[in-house]
Amino acid sequence: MAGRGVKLEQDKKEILKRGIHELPAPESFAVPSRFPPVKGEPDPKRILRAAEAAGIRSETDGVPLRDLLRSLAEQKTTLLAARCFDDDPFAAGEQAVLRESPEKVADGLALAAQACGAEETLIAAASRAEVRLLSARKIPAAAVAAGNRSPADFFLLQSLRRSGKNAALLGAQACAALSDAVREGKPAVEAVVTVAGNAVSKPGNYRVRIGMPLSLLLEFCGADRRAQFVSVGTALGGHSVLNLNMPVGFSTRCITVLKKPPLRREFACVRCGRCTTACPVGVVPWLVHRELESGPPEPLLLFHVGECIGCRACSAVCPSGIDLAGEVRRAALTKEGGRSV
Amino acid sequence: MNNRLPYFRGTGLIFRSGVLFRNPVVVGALGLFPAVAAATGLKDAAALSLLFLLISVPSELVLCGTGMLMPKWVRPAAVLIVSAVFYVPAVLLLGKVMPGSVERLGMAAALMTCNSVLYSRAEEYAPEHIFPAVLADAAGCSVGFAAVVCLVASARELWLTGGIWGHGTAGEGIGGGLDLPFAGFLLVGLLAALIQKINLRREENAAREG
Amino acid sequence: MILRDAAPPFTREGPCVRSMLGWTLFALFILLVVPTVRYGPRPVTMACAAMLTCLLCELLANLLRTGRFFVTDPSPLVTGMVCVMLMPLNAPLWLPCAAGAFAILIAKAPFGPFGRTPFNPAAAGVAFTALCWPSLVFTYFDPSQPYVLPAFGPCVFREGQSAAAVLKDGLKPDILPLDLLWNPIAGPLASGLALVVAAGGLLLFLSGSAHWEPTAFFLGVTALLAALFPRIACSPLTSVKYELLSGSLLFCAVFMVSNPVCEPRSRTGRCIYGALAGALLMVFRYFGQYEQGAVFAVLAADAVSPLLSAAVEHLRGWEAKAHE
Repeated sequence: MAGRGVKLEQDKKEILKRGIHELPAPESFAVPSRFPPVKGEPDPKRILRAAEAAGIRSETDGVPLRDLLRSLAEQKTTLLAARCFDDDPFAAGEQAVLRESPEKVADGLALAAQACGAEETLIAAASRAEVRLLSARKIPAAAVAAGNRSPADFFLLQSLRRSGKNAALLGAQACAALSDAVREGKPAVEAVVTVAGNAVSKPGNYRVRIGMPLSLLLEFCGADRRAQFVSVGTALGGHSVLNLNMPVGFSTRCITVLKKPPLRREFACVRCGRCTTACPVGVVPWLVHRELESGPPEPLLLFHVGECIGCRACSAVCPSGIDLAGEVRRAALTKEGGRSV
Repeated sequence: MNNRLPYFRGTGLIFRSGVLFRNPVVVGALGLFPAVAAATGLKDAAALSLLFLLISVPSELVLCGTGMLMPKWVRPAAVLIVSAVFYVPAVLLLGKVMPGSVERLGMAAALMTCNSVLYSRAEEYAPEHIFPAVLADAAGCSVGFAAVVCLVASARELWLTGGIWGHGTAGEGIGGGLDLPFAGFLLVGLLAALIQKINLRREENAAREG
Repeated sequence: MILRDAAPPFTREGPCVRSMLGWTLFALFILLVVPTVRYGPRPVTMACAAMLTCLLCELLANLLRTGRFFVTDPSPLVTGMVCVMLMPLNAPLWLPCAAGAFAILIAKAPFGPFGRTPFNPAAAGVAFTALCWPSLVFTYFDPSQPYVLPAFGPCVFREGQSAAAVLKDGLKPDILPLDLLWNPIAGPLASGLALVVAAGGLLLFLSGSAHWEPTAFFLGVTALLAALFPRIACSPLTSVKYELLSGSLLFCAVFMVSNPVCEPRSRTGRCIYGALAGALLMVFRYFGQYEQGAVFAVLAADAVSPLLSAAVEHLRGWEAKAHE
C-alpha cells in the first residue's frame, strides 16, 4: 500500500514577500540578443522553433523544452499542468514566478499545451490562497492547489492520472520563458534561484544570468565566509557543492548555505515504520534495510524497489538517520541484476 | 619415540579442544540441564561432573570398539543401553566417594544416562575414531563439562550463600534468584562469549601466521 | 570558504532518535516532581544514582566493544529513570543501580548499540532485582505517616501494604479507586501518579516518540480481563479501576510497552503485542508469585515480538515465494 509522503516545514514567507530581485549580469557576460517574435497566431511548429531559438530548458531536469514538448506530444499528453509550487522547505522560485507574472505563466502554459497537443491546462499552485489570488486576477486558466506533502508533483500527477487524464508537469519558469520567447523574442538566459539558509544575510529569490559562478551570487547575497556547507537543488534531492566556481544552471532552483553541514549520526533501525508510511510508491524501506543488513538479500522480498522515484521521503523521516533511499537504490540494482551489490 | 610425538600432540589437541576450544557445554550448547538447572552448589556440580566422567569414558570406549559393528540406526539405542549399564557402578562409586550426593542430586543423577554431551560423543565421534582419540575426547569433554558446571555452580552458591562447598549459609549471600534457570543461562552465556573471544583470537593469529 | 560534504536529504521531518529519547526523559523527569515535593530529595538522589550507574556501564560496554570511551545517545539515562520509577522509594540506593547495571551490561550491551536490543533493558533489570531481592523490591513505606525520607542513608519506616498486594490477597483495598489517581499510596515510585503518567504518555504520543497502539491495546485487554475476572467481590467497573490504577501497570503501559525498539514493526503486530502483554500481565497478577508482574509480562511479550512480526509478514505474503 502506497504511503503519503512527508510534510516538510516550509520557511519561505519572508522570501516570497520580497518578490524576485534582479541581479546584474557580470561584465564579462555578453548582452543577449533578441530574435524575431512569432507574428500572428502561433502554431505548434513555430512555438517549438521559438523555444529552440530561446534555448529554454526545463528547470526540473535541464532538458531542452523543445525536446520535452516533442516527447509529451509523442506520449499523447491530454493535460499539461504548470508546476507553480515548491514542496521544498527553502526553494520558492516557482511560487515567486507565478506571483510576479501569472498572466505570463498562463500564456506560456497555453502555448506549451498547443505545442504538445494537450487539450487541457491547469495551474498547480502552492496553496488555496494562491488559487484564490489567480481567480481574483482573472487569470484565464484552471487552477488547483497541489498538496503540501512531498513529493507533491508525484501525488498531483497520480491524482490527475487517476481521473483518467494523461497528465504532465511543466515548470513555471519554463512557461514564463516560453511566453517571452514567442511574444517578445526574448532568449532564456536567466533563471530564478532561491538563496536561503542560516549563513546568508540577504536570503531571497534572485533572477540571475545562467552561467554566473555561485561564488559571485553568494557574495551578493551576503553569505558568511565561515559557512561550511553549500548545497544546490532541493533539500531532499540536491547535492552538496565543494567548488563555488560552479555556474548557475537552469535546474539550480535553490542554493542553501548553512553554517554547519547537516551531518546525521546513524543509529540502528528503531522499527517505527515511518518510512513505509512516507513512501509514495509502496516500497517497504525497513524490510529492504533488514534484507541488505543480513547478508545477500532475497530479491523476492524487495517489493517495488524498481518503482522507487528517488524522492528520499524515507530518508527524511527515518529517526535513525539511515540512508534508506540509498539502500533502496542498491536493492533495485540487486533485483535487476539478480545478484547482491 | 620420535614418531609417537605427533601422535601424542594430536591427542593433546583433542583433549584441549574438549576442555576449552570446543567445550561441549558453552560451544556445543549440549548438556545444558546440569549446568543451568541442576547445579546450584559446588558439591552438586562436583558430584555431577564425577558421575559424568564415570559414565561417559567407559561408554565411549565401548562404543569405540563396537560402534562400527552395528548399523547406524541402532547406535542411539546402544548408547542409552551402554550408559545405563555403566550408570549403576558409577552411582555406587560416587556414593562411596561423596556420600549422600546421589540422593541430593535426585533426578538429575539419573538423567546423566541420557546427557546430550555423552550421547553426541558416544554416538557420533567414538565409533569413527581410534582408541586414543576417543579416550582423549572423553577425558577432555569430561573436564570441560566439569569446568563449566563447577564454575557456574560456584558463582551461584557464592551469590546465594556467601560461601562455596557448603561453607555458606542460605540467605546470607548477596541475594537470591540465581538458583533459577535464567541465571544459569546467563552465566553459561557469559562463559560462551569468553570462549568465542578466545577462538576468534586464535583464528586471527592463525590467519596472520598462515 | 572551507566547505564540507554531506549526503542528502538536508532536512528531515518528525522526531529523530535523540529527540525521541529526549522527550521520554523529560516525561520521566516530570514524574520526579511530585514525589520530591512529598518526601524530600530522595527520589532525585535515587534517579541520579541509577542514571549515573547506567551511564558508566554504557561507557564500559562501549570501551570493551569498540575500544573507545563514548556514549552515542541518552538511552542509558532513560533506562536508569525507568528502573527508579519501578522501585519503592524506601529501597536502598544500590538497588536501582543494580537494576540499571544489569539492564545495560546484560540486557543491552551484548546486542550492540541502541536500537538492537530484543528485550526492554529496564524491564530486564527490574525483573533481575525482583528475583534476587524480592523483599527489598516489594516492601513499601506507609505514606500516611508524615516523614521525609533521607536523601542517602537507609530509610526507617513503617511498612504499608500496596493496593496491588491487597488485591493479590483477594481483599478490597481500603482506598477509593479514584484516590489512586493522585493521592500518596504505598507502591513503586510511579504509583499514585496516574495523571502525571497519562500526561507523559500524551506528550510521547503527540511528539511521535512512542506508538499509541500497544498502550491502547495493553490497557484495553487488562481492563477487559479485570472486568470479566475480578479478583475481589465488586462491580466490573470497580475492578477495572483498581487493577488499572494499582501497581506499575499504567507506568509500564506508557513507558515500556510503547518502546518502539522492542515492538513488532507493523501496526497490526504492535496491537497484538500490546494485547498479549496486557493478557500476560493479568495472568501474572492472578497466578504469579509477586504482586507486580508488569516487567515479566513486558519481557515475555518482547520474546514473542519477532514471531509477531514474522506472522504479520507471512499473512501479508511477504515471504520469499515466487509470487511477483
